[in-house]
Amino acid sequence: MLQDFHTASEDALSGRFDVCVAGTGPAGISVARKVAARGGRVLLLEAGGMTPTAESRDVLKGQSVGTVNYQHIEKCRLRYFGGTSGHWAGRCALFDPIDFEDRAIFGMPGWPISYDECYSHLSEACAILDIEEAAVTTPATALWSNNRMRAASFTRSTPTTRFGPKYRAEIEESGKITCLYNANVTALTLDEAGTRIISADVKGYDGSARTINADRFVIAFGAMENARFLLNVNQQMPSGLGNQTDWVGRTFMEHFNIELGMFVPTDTSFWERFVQTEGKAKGRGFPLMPGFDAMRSAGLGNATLSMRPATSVRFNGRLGPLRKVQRDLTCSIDPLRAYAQSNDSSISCPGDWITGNIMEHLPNRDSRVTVDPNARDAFGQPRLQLAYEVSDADKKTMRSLAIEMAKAFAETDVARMRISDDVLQGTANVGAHCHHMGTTRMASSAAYGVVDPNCRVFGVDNLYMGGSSVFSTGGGVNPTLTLVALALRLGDHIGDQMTSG
Amino acid sequence: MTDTGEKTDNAASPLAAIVDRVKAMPTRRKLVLGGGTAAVAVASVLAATSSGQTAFAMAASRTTKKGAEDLGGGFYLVDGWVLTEADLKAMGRS
Repeated sequence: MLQDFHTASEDALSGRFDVCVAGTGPAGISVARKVAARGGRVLLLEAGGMTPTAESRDVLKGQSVGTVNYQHIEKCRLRYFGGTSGHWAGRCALFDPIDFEDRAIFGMPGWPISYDECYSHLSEACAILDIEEAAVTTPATALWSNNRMRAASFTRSTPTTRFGPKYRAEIEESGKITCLYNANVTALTLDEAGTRIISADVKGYDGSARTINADRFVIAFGAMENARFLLNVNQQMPSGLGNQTDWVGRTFMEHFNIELGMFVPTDTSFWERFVQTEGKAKGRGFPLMPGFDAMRSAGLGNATLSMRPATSVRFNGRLGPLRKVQRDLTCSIDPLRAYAQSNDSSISCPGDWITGNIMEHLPNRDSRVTVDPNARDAFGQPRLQLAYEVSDADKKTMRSLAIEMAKAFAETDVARMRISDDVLQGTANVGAHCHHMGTTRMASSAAYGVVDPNCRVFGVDNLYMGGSSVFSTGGGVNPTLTLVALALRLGDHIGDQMTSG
Repeated sequence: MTDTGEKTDNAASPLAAIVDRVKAMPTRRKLVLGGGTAAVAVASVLAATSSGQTAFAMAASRTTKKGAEDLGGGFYLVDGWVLTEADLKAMGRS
């Protein structure tokens, strides 16, 4: 059943639900479908409409207050049926086993679950995202003769899975899932002991309001909003729900998007072969990742390092065409090109290659989501504030990864790489990938996080968090496949709870 | 321009002498010839110093191993370029 909350019938909300899932993005829909498949009655709530609306988008507004000005607070997020899958790029890859190790560079415990536990529902997640499991589990051909770098395995969801269009009909026809859109959860009521949610207040944009009941609640609004929600649900818990140890909103993680530098091939045939056989022929592109030995010995975070010809550089903005002419002129005269490039690390010419990446942002308590009581949304809830922080350890990872990559090129004599001055100096613009993670991190105890290994909020028996907010660390790959796998695992856990009574 | 020691110094430098002569010309000619002279001079310097060299070869040729940051394992950081000891030797700078 699928209805507008503003006009929903009384029947739609009558009776008790086994679980109320708030959020219809990849995590929310995956949990809801899984619980329904296990025989549970599910109330699925979407705060936005079936398509984007101005009134819904307004709720996402927030402010960047950290050392790094994060300009993607609103841009990255979608608030309508299907969630951020509406603009997902479709790239899928698995975290590495090393990401699940307790590594000193994290400065805190890492994941409390193993790689195998995290991906216990991998096959089902791959089916949901319309990818072949073998494409992410089969190691790419090793083209590098040393342990510095390894070829990455990833694939793309093609055409990209959009959860709204893909699952709308199924949810409309479902006898187990009742989905209401324009339904904003604004409060959760705890029992007298303060350990169990007994009801949720839901409001529409037209002033309509209802109280709903369910045995369990799953919050899957995305990493930024999950934290804002818990911090704002403080009618009975002044510091926020699940925030007794001050972890809600902390360890906000993104992936850095940095151009590490440019390189000049010294073995053109190698690059042609690399692109043709390892890249286009397999539809994988040709990214590299740091070797495990290098990560361990140098204390590096993880990353996916991509390479593309400098001819693919775009010159944007009003002066873009002028800058392109200037670049082309400089590059067309060999001595001028050599002189210019030796003096400016940012100049790349046709024939050169440039490097980009998805680079791990190490968990950092100071990088955090908070709320601003002086700015409120249409429902009276304090708006989001984000302090996005990059640590010295992150800067070390950037520099060291660039050096390892450059060493790999020189060692195999396929290229020489020039690392950008700002990467070497630790002043690089870290960019964004819209991979928001870690604000309700998973931990073995409340001393280091917000949810337990089953995604249950510490201290509340029937409240769970879904999505990448539960990530303990961010790894060096796109998060969607992992968050869907974890959502399915959560759905199964709830199914087990229902069965056991 | 006054008749001072500055003029005497310029006479010792061909480039400076050209500059002096251009300064005495009418404005439009001054611009054209001055610009042309500067372009030729820059091109000559570049051609003399970097002909046939890639950017990383230039970086290596401008430094000695002592002036490079030793990254360990036989690698050096030179103007941002990560080069091998063999690269530096090939440039006659090791």
